[in-house]
This record gives sequence, structure tokens and C-alpha cells, in this order.
Amino acid sequence: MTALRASGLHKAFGGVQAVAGVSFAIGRGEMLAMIGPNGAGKTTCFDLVGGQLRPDAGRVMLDGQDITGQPPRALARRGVGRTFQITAVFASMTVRENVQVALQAHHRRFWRCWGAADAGFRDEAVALLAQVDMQTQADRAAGVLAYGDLKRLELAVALAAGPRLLLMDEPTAGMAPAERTALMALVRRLAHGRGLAVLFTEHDMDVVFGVADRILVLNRGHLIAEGDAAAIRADARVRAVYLGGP
Amino acid sequence: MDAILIQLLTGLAGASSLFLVAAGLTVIFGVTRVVNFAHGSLFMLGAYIAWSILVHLPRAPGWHAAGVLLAALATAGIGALLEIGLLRRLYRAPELLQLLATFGVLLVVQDLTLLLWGPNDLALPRPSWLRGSVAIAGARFPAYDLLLIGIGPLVLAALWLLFSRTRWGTLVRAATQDREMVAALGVDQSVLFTTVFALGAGLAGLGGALALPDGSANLQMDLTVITDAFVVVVVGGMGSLPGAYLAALLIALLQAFGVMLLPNATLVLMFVVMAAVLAVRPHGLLGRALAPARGEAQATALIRPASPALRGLGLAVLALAMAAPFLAGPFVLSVLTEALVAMLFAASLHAMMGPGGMASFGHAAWFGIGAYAAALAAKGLLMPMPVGLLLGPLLAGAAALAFGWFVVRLSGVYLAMLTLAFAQIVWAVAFQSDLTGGDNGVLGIWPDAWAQDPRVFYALALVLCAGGTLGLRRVLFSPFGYALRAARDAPARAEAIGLWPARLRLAAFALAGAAAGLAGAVGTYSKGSVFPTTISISRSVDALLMVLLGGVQTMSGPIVGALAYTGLYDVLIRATDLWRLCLGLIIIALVLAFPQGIAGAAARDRTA
Repeated sequence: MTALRASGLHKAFGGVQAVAGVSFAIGRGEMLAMIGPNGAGKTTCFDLVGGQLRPDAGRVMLDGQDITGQPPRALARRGVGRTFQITAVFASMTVRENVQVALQAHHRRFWRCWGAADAGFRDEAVALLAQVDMQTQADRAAGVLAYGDLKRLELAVALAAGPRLLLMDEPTAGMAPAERTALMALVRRLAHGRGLAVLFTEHDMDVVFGVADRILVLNRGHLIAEGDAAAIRADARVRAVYLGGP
Repeated sequence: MDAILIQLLTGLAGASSLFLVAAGLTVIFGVTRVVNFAHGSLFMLGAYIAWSILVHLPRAPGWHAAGVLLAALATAGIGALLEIGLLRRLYRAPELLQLLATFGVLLVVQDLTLLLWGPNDLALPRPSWLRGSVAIAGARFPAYDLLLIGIGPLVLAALWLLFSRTRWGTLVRAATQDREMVAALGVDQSVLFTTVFALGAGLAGLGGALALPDGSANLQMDLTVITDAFVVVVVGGMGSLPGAYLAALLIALLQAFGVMLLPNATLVLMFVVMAAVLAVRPHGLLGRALAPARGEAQATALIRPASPALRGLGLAVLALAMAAPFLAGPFVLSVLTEALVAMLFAASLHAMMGPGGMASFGHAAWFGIGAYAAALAAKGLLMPMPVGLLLGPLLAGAAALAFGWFVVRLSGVYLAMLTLAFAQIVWAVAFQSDLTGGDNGVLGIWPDAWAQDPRVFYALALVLCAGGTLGLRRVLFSPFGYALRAARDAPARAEAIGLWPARLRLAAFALAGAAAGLAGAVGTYSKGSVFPTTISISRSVDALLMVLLGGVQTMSGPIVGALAYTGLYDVLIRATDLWRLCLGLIIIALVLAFPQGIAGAAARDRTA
């Protein structure tokens, strides 16, 4: 069952063709990694799928419905969650409040002007934090967390909306190797357990080859290879891009 | 045709004067990112210093030119001292605190100028060569204005040479684009910043000295000039010199021709142009989006509901306020009513500025709309007081909603400047319209018979203002308040969880406007009158001071700040004629000592 299908995505910035005719699909419960050297167009692809950017051409279909060019807030309602390459949490709130805000947004409570926000969805928030092993830090300020904890908090915030598709841009950047593996193993359990489709970019090839069900390789805006870990390892063009060569 | 030519030349001369001030401001902002509120004061000092020099020199053109240059140099020296003594310590502080500090400088300079040169306008005895005129198209055009027309482009060209042909200029341009990188390359930033500030100050001084023969050195120059300069810099694009000249040209020509077409709307016209330009080009005519300065202390403090101790303190103060009618006389009650109005006014600004993340330079607009709505309901429509108290917040909120529609997508300095522009439009309408009584204001608005007793009116003000303040606070701790804060903390993340930051901000904008309008309406019935000064820049700055003194990152800040500021102000104004000097020095000292505000500092001490 296909969760997301992107076809023929194009995006240019000025004269630079950042993404040129990229097509791919993600199935329910699938971990799809997107890799490629710096400047390959990974983040642009993410922003096209996540609604931060509008493609010049091409379509994005979520569960068979056209979502091309819809703003992120509309996609969030349709079940698209996202974490960012540059970690963005709500620094003036505690860890638990970060998740509570996300839950309130998901339940469309954010126009309520009365009643303490602090009291809403407390237990749900703590449960989500427990999923990412952050429950002991629930009352700390989000602004002072260590980098790895920020990444896990971001994941909890993204999960609060109960997404069907999760977009993770460099989810483990800046984390220690052991932490990386643990976090991505957690994401993989969630994906396979809940039927959550996950698209992620990653620089750490151990992580990519360890957890991804399938891998896309981008180079200079083009999709140059697609397949499972073994197929990608063996692909001549991928070797040329990463290792140099003819 | 001839009239048009004369107006064109008048406009060009005006453009040169505007450009000189704006050029200094934009150069300083480009490199140091400081919005220098004291720039108008440097202009004023330039004029006064030039006066002092020129009355002692022979009247020949050569001597005059030397005197003007000397005045510009002296002002540059003052600018350098200002940078070394004060601004250098504040580059890492939030930009609004820098602004606050330079506003303190403005106050200090006002009183020092008054002390040194006295209260009278100082005009220069004009020798014959300065009075001369040239026959153009059958009309007589002042020769000095022709000179001014030439000086603007000349200074632009000189600056262009300086910035493109010297090593110093290259460094300045590099620092404008990326000051961290320039520092990383081993350039001594402090020398660069000091010289840039001195250059900007010198340009302001030159502008002041050159403006002297056409008018006089007077104590109102600083605020008039700074408003004009802000508008020019923002319209041209902050940091862009050609943009500043283009904008100066646009605005001066518009004013010159506006006098012919719409003589009653000249004040409004300038700000309408600014609003129109920013609506189409949010970064000004030739401006670019600024790269956020890296490594800046944009500390976001954790916000928690009040601790039991703070809650107890708040309740104690509230109980005391409720007991006041039984303890205090009418005079004290009227002072307390003022403080209550100030508190709601400050709290309303804080709501949009702190959790909303939108700093406003023109918050007096909403206060003023509320005040005039109440006044006109009472005097024009002969409505009872409750109607006025209802119309105030309603009209102010509606106006804020309409205006906010255009501006909530802007941020930072541009948003602040656009709010300033709107406040000036409201001020100009109040000042130039017959409906509002113009400069004379609306008088004799007294509470209904049942609330004539000062104790009753105080109780009413307490219910409305303290209730409004606590209501705002409650909203900020509601799901809406959290969503608003989420949109401020991380806009992209907020969108990704399904929030709509622009809408949230718009709602906060309207709410803040309505609350300020309520404060304005209560203030009108308390004072019995309303004047255009209710909407003046200094009124907007009062609100900013209260919020920043209290600490924008705290929830109790506006309450503490408003009470501290009102108290300070009352004490100072009664104790000394030099209250501006004292207030300015206190502001500067406070900014240097508590870069996070009073309540912010208290919060930091608790957590430390």
C-alpha cells in the first residue's frame, strides 16, 4: 500500500536546478532513506514533500490525494509529521509543554483563549515522551537540552499528531554513534509497528544501511539509484558519486 | 509649469537634507545593527554646535563652510565617544534594549542642550550671500537651497568612493554582509564600529549644520528629524545608501507636491508612502533581507506559571489596591488610576511583543484610537460612559485587526517601523482633522454621575484595568497563548504541527490593540480630555520602556515595569526640572545593569 507518491518533482532557485525530475514512492510501514552528497537536493526534496516549498513541476500524492503545494499546516492535518535538520523546538516551554502544544494543535484546540494550557493532554504528552525515553526530562526547559535529547523531543513532537508519514531531515546529526542507532531503531519499530511511512535523510551510512528498507540516491538534483542496501552498495553510479571515478 | 519647477527644486533641496541624516543612520545600522534613536539628537547637536561656531566666525562663505565642517567633526567626535562609552557594551544585547539605551541618550541630550544653550530657538544672522536668490522661470528661488540640491548627490558620491575605493570601505561593506566572518578574518571590529559610528554621527552633524541657515537650532529637532530619518531609511531599505537617497528623493518630492495638492494631509502622506512601499517590498526599495546576525543573545527564557510566592505577592498588591479608596485621598487615587491605565497599556504591548514576538513602535495608536473613540462618543454622540468604554476597545481592536492584516508577515525592525508609521498616521489625522478638534483636542469628558466620585471611578478603573491585565495574562497561559509562543519560538516547527503563525499573530495583534484601546478609553474619562499627544511617539516609547524595564521575557514584567516607570516618572517630574536627564541616565544604567529587564533579572537570580 503506497502512503506517498512523488512524481516528476522539479525545483529551481534562480538558475540552479536543485531538484530535476525526481519520482519516488513510500509504502506504509516502510523506512525510506534519501542519501546523496552535499547539494544533491535532499533538503529541497523534503521541503517539496513537506509543503515548505512549492514544486515548479510535478505532483505529490498522499494516500491517493493530491497534496502538491499545500502549506505545512494543512499537511499536518492530513497526517504528515516532520523533524528539521536545524533542530527547532519551543525554547520558552518545558519538554512536556512542547508535546502538549503539538497535541493541542492536533486536536485543534489552539483558538481556546481560556483555561490553562498547562493542564491539557498532560498524560498523553508524558506517554509520548516515554516512547522516546524522555519522560524523566519532562519538566526541564526545552531550550537547555543536549543535542541528542532535542532530536528525541522533536520526534515526540512530530509523533503527537499521530502521523501517517514522517519526514525526518538528518534526524541523528550531532548525536553520538550509539545514540544514533538507538534512535533510528526506535523509529524503525514505530514504522513497522504502526504502519508509519518514514522518509529520512542521513549522512551516517551505518545508520542508513542498518535501518532503511529501501534507499534513494540523489546527485545534483537527479535520482540516480534506488533499491535495498545490497543493491545500492553494488551500484556503479553510486560508487562513482561517492568514491569518484570515471 | 513654473510652479511645478519651483516645487521640484524645493523637493530636491529637501531630499538632500533628508538624505544627510538618513545616510548616517543607515550606515550605522548596516554595520552595527543598532537602530540609533539618538541620531536625531546628533543632528540637533550639529545644529547647535554650528550655531556656536558660526556666530564667532566672519560671515564669508569660506569661513561658513569651515565652520560647518568643524561642527560635523565635533559631532563625529561625540558619536565616537557615545559608541565607546555606551553602545560597545550593548552589541550583544537584544536590539530593543539597544534602542532603549539610545532613547536614554536622546533624553539626556535634550536636557544637556537645554542647559548649555537655553530654551530659545537659535537662528543664525544671515549674511547677504545666504539670503540671495536666483531667478528661475520667473520666480525667485533661494540660492542656498540650490547649494543644498548639489550637496546631497555630492555626499552620496563621496560616500560611494569611500566605501568602494578604500580598504576601510571594503571592510565596512564586508561587515555589513557578515560581521562575524569579518571578525573571524582578524579585523579589529571595535575600531571599525567606532569609526563607522563616528562617520554616521558626523553626517548627522553635517545635516544639522547645513539646516541651520534655513531655520533655527531648536529643541524639537531631534524627534522630528529621527522620525523622518527612520521613514527614509526604512523606505530605502535598511543599510542601503543609494536606497536612502532614492527614498529621500521620493519623500521630499512627495511632500513638495503634496503641499500643492493636499495641503491638509502632508503629515499623513509620508507615512502612507512608507506603508505602501513596505506592503509591496517588505525590505524597502533597495534593501535585502538581513542575514540574522549569528551568535547574538536572543535568549528565550523558560516561561512558567506564577510561583505560589509570586501569586501571594500579586494578591497582596491587589488587596492593597482594593483597599486604596478607603485609605487614600482623591489625588493619590488619581495617580493610582494613571498607574492602572499604564499597567494595562504596558500589558497589552507585552502580549504582542513578548509571547507574540512582534515589537511595536507605535502602540500609542491603539491607545489613542480608544481614547478618541471614548471622547467622541461622549462629546459627539452624547453617549453615556459605558458606551464610550465599550467603543474604545472595539474600535481599537478593529483598527488593529485591519492594520495587522498587512503587517503580521513582517518582523523585527520593519514591523516596528510600520507600526510607527501607522501611529504617525493616526496622530496626523487627530492633529489635522476638525472632527477631533486638532491640536486643541477634545475637552470636558467626565464620567457619568454615578462614577463622578473619585473612589467610584478608581474602583471602576481597577476592575477594568487590573481585570484586563489579568485577563490578558490568562489568555497567554491558555492554549492560544502557548500556540502563539510556539509560533514565535520556532515558526517552521509551529507550521509543521498544524498551527498557522500568521493568523495567531494577527489575533494577538488585534487583542493587544483592543486592550490598549480599553486603557485609552479609561484614561480619557480619568483625565477628562484627550489631545493628539496621546498618540505621540513618546507615548509609544513610554509603553516600550515599561515593557522592557519589566523584562519582555517574563509574564509579570509589564506589571512591574509599568508601576516602576509610572512611579519613577512621577517622582522625577516633581523633584527636578532636569527629569529627562535623570530618566535618561536611569534608563541607560538599567540597560547596562539588567540587559534582560528588572523582572527578567529577578527570574535569572532565582534560577541561578
